[in-house]
Amino acid sequence: MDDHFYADIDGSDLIAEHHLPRSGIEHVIDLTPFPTFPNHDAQETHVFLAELSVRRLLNRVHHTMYGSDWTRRSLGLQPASSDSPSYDFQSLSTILNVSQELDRQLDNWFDLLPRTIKPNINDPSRYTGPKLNMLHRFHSAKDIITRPFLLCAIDSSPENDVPPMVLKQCEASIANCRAYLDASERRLMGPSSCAEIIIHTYVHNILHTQPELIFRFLRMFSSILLLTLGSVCPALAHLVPDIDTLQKNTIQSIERFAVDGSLMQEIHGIIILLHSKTRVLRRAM
Amino acid sequence: MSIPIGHTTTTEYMLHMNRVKTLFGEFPPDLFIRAESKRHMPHQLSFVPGTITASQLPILDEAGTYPLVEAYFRHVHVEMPILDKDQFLGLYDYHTRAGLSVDCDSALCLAVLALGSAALEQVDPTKSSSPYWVPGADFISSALQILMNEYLLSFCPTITLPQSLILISKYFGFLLRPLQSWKLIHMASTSIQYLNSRLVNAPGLLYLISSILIRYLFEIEAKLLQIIMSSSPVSFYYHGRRSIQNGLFPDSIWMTTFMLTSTAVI
Repeated sequence: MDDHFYADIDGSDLIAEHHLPRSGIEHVIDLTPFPTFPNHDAQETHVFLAELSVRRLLNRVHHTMYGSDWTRRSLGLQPASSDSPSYDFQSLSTILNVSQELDRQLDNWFDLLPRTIKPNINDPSRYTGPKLNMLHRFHSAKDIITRPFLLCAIDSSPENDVPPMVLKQCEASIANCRAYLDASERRLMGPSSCAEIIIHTYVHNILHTQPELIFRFLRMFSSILLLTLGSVCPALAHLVPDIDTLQKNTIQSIERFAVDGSLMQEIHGIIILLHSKTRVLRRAM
Repeated sequence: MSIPIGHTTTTEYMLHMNRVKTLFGEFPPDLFIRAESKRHMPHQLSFVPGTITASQLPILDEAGTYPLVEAYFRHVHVEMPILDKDQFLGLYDYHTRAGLSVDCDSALCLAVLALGSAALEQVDPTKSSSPYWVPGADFISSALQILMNEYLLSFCPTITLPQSLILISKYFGFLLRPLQSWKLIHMASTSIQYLNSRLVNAPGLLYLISSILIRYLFEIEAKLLQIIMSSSPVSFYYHGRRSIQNGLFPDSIWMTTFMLTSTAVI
């Protein structure tokens, strides 16, 4: 699936095998004038611009925290190798400042969203459509910014104490995974007690998510996988006491999309597997 | 700009982490793309270019199809405003009166109707959870045949070719079929580049439309590559060094424009 992943992990040459060709549009994008929208106050214009700007920010996250060996060297880190995790506790302290700076930029992005598309972060439950999209964007960016800390803690051997700085970032990462799952599930399920509202809200919610629906499912899968790994890691288990419910809810929300033979069916099956194995593992902890 | 080699934020990366292997067992490589590439494809969604004639195209009955146009503008257009509504309605009115023909303008009408159908049917699980779900089958099947022919055979594309291809790509997004979405976006991207290179000296409006489309295509292609290649957000980025050479956290023109826009609105 992901060629870069294979290059890293298996050290194999799957890049060539699975390389999906780009169309070349990236070469003309720089030469193309920025579009003039007929109605610059329209909600759809704001959504488009907000998406563009957060993508630029996320690109910076990838450059600086997950980037190439060139980027890693520029931060004074060793190149990633196939048999070692991306970061160790020592190198995490090097990227802490970078992570905090990116986090600040993300908060700025969110603060600057126009009112037409800006949700209230403290009351996410009442939003639909573009505002919920922005919320998703926000949480998915936060996830990427804090994830190296969580992955490193998960990957460390149980004898090693997780440094307080890393633990703090893990808490933020786990809280963010929860927020992402929560928003996704609400969006996919809708309330079930009031028919007209269901249909309206449901239609509205579902339709707004379609273009990125698969993307969202995969993000939900990433989030539940991270939470699951946290829940069976002795140093982090206390942060995810409700993993059973989180997994059940995720399974339930994606069930109806698990069409025979589809990628969604595989994901659904894997989360069911994670669910039962997690129960067994946690009992033994 | 490219997907960075070696980044480790992908879902499949996590699925193959040592910790996952130890705790939950091994998963075969290429799991997701393999599932999708072997997935059953209803014949109406075939990419094989046919020899469709005008008499085989659906007849646009306004009473039956206008709700689909409305659904398109209400639910799809809001996220991807690549059509001028008034211009499209003019085109649609013309074809409801004169009938459809085997060209890209007609394919655009068909694509909008197919998307309208997909948008309305998606919320009905009795339909959308079937592996044989093909909303607006007549529309999508005809649109695909016209567009595949146009894309493969024509060297005088119109702006409605990439527009229609983008819309059909979106249609496959509704069906949760990312590989077909990606392929169509790839086609749209190459056709807009071909068109754009002929439009450099063309007068204003068409060039402007093509520039908007290029931005959209750039965005959509990025998203689809994320889905297909990494299953994880945002691995599409300006190739390596540029932004770093410009300082670690350069404000992009987009960010600046967005800030100006949002400030003006607030």
